[in-house]
This record gives sequence, C-alpha cells and structure tokens, in this order.
Amino acid sequence: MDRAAILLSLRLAAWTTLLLLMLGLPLSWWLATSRWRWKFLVEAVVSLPLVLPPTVLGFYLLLALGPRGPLGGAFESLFGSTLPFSFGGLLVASVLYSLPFSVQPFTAALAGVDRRLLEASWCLGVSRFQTFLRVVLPLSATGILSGMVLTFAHTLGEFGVVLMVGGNLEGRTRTASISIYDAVQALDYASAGRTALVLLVFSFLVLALTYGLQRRVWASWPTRS
Amino acid sequence: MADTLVVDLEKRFHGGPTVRATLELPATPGRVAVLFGPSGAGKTTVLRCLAGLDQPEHGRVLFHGEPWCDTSARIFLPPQRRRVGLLFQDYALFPHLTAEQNVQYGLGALPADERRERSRSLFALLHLEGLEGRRPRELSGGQQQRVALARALAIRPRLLLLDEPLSALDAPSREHLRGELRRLLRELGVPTVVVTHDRLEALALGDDLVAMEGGRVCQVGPVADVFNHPAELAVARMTGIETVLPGTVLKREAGLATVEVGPHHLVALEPAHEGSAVFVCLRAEDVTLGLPEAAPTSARNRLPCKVVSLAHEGALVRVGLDAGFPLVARVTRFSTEELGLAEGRALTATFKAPAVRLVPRP
Repeated sequence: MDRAAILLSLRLAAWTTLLLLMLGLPLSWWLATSRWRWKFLVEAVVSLPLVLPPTVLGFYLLLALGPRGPLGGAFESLFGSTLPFSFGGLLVASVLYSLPFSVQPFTAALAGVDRRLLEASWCLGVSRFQTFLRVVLPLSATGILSGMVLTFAHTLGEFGVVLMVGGNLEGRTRTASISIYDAVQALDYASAGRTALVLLVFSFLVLALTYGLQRRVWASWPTRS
Repeated sequence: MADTLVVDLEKRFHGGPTVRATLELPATPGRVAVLFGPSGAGKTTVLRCLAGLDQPEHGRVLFHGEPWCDTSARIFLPPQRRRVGLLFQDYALFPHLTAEQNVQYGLGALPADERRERSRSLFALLHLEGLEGRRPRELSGGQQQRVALARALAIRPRLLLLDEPLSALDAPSREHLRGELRRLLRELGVPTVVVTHDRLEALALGDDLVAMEGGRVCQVGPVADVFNHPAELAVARMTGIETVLPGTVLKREAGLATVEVGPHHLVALEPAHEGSAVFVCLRAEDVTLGLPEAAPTSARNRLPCKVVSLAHEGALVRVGLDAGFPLVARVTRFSTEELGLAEGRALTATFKAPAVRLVPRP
C-alpha cells in the first residue's frame, strides 16, 4: 500500500473541496438567481469537465499553467516557482476538473430556497449577505454538504488530469490513482490491490453518507400548490 | 401631504401586462386601505413596489412626504430601509427557525432582553403563548398567519402590507379571522394596505378602497362610497352588484330620473353625470319580493315578474327572476316559504328609487 500517495490524494481532495466551497458558492448563487440571458453559456462552461476527456482538459491546463502560458507566467513571476508538476498545479487542475461536481449540487440546493423567504428577510431589515448566511445557507445545508462530499470523492478518484498536469513525482504529485497504475505497470498486484481497496472502501463510505443525508431532506419549506 | 401615501407608478412585465397605478391614500395610524380587484389586476405589483421588492420603470412612491422611490430623481430605498411589515400570502415563515426565532429575526440590532420582551408582548397580543418553540410546520394555518404577522410587527413597521391575508385559510377560520383582523389592525395603530380579491374581506377590513382592474386603478375612495357609487361598470362588477342592465335616461325631473330598461320605466335618483346611456345597477339585497296583488308601498319601482331559479346561500336564497329582463333578488329562507317561491311563480319585485345606481355607459 502506498501510504504517501493516499495521504497526498486526501490532502488534494480536502484542499480542492475547500477552494470549491469558497469559489463555488458565490458562482452557484449567481447561477441560481441571475436572470442574465447568456447565463446558459456559463452553465455550459462549468459543466465542460463532465464531458471532456481528462487529457483535453489536462493538455490546455498544461499550456496555460506552463511558464509561457498566461497563468503560469504570472504565477512564476509572483512566487518564483512553476505550477506544472507541483502540488499547486495539481490543485488548480483539480478545482477546474471538479467544478461541476460542486457547482451543480450547490446551485440546485440554493435554487430550492423559496425566494419569498429572502424577500421576507429583506423587509425585516436584514441585508442580502446576512440573509444568505441566516436563511439561504441553513436551508440548503444538506445540498451544499453533498456537493462537497461529491467533490471530495471525485478528486480522490482523479487520474487523467493529474497525470497530465502533475506527472508522477513521488510524495509531490503521485496520487493514489497514479500509484495504483504504477504498481500495476510494475506487476506489483499486491500493492495495487491494497491501495485500490482503500480507495474503494473510502469512496463507498463517503457516497453512502451523502445519499443517506440526502434522504433526510428538509421537508419543511412552504409547499407550492 | 403629510400623512398620506402617494403612489404614481408604471411597472412593465416582460411579455406581460403593464401596471399603471396612480393613487393617494390617507396613511394615518390604524387606517386600512384595501387594494381590491380580480387576480391579474396589478394589486400585488403595487404592494411589492410599496415594499421595495419591485422597482417601477417610472414613477414614485411617497410615504408621509418621504420619497421611497422616485425614478426621475433616481431614488430607490431598498426594502431593508423602508421599515414595512409585509405579510406574504403564504406567510413565508423561516422553516428552520422556531416561532419565537421567526418573530425575533428582524431584531438583531436590539439587546437580547429587549428582543425577548418584544416577542413576548407580541405572542401575548396575538394569542400565541405556548407556541414559541414550535416550528412553522407544526403550526396550523391560522397560527402561522399570526406568527407571520407578529414577525412583521416586531420591527415596529411604519406601514403594514398584507397580501391576501386570509386566502390561505379554510372558509370557517377565514370568516372568524376577518373580524379579528379588523379589530387588531385598528388596535395596532399602523397604517395598513391590504390586497384582496374577496369582496367581503374588502368590506370587513377597509376604510379606503382602491378598485383595480387590468393593471389600472378604476376608483379610489372610502369603502362605502366605492361600493355604493361605483364610478364605472368594472367597479360595479367587482363589488358584486348582481343586476347590471343597459338603460336609457328618458327624463330628469326634480332630482329623479326616469330610465328605460327593457319594457319598463324605472325611477332612480338623478345621476351626477350627463348623458342618457347608463348601466342600471341593482343589488340583490335591495329587491323586495311580494305577491302580485299586494298593496302599493313607498317603493317607486314595481315590476311584475316570474321566478326563474332558486339557489340556497346559507340563510338566504338567491332568486333569479324574469321581469322582461333578468333580475336577481336575495331573500331569507323564511320569506321563500311564506311566499311559496317556486320556479314559474308570478310575483311583484319592488325596489326604491335610491337603490337604483346609474353608472355611465360608454
């Protein structure tokens, strides 16, 4: 079993989930409430990672993050290190690749909050931001949690993008999925099997937890007749 | 100017109707104005513009002389800064909070003991004691309504807005709460605007009435005035005047008018407006039924007629008549039996001249 790779995968998944919570919530709120006519284009872009082969996303990311790419150049001049084949680059790739897995459940959860509750809150003198914290978040908590869990689980299972952007540097970018591939290539089936089993059991537990939580959806907002 | 609510706005809906409302209402403590009209009349739009939830394309809203919205001066006060108490049609209570937390929701700026004190007095005022810890789904419709009202009142609103306050309740509680709500609104001493499509609710709750139809204001005035003197046909229909007939004023003499309706000449009070084309409006309650051979009374209008239909409405019976034109009377069940009313029965319908309302006909 490759402990370092599993820990790296967990670390990457945790950071990705956290970043996507911070970036995904505002984006999802905008998607759930905006009436902008070109919104569907943004929705399409957000969902691209669902259908694109990971190699395509990885290829473009490699170009963008590389020293001659727009993002990579800026990052290098700021921090003095390059993004590809580093944990930072891996994180950027994971965030993009898992974007729909957080944004879609978040948006569904936020859109499920009755708009009149927001209006009631505003009329009671509570600001939009406070209303978001005091009404919207508690009422969409299960949906947001399941989005986070899905993101976490999806990042754990990432392979193609990670390989394209991160390569296979032990302790730095070798995640669990790559370690399994490596072990199989080296005919070390025992090690591959142990790592794979850990991922399988962990992913199952995480998903079982998510669906278990979703069963107990708040059944209490005003019914629409 | 000082104690009034002035609304002059235009709000367009994408692919929908345009609401144009111009009205001025007294907004003194405890005074209740009713926005009345069929659904789609634009009542709720006006209410939402008052709350600041909708922004009109053009126009202004002045409350006690303070501009809440003035598109020409680019003023728009957000709902947070208007201090209006809005009661939604389905109450919109926060489902994840208890009744007490709902009521205290808007009091975040107050110290905790003052918050508790204020919610305690509201729970007492609205007879909600003992329900503080319940969640909205554990409350009955009437209780939810009172919690929502308490929540709106907790912020000590300058203006109270009620959107169809009784429509989400079942019929018996509605009847019971109509009177109670009226008493409460008087007691609270907050100027109030109520939206309703229900005639009885409008009569029971309102001091002033704003009759709306198809996105425009048809008539504004004290409730009794609007009900008794509808300015136009649309208002007469809304206020539930059962008989509306086209007629022609033949002559005006000594304050009375003779109006030709179908084969009959009716006597009415002389209308203020010029022109001979009128709609003759008559309430079913104002029509008295008697036997054909009955002695004359002081009522100026006596029409021989035949019973066409009978419909029971609680203690009353709605009698459809044919007097050469359709006529509706409403009498008690006792009278129905005494007169032996049945379809085809010949009768005399009488009504006084002042009961006949004449509305100009375009």
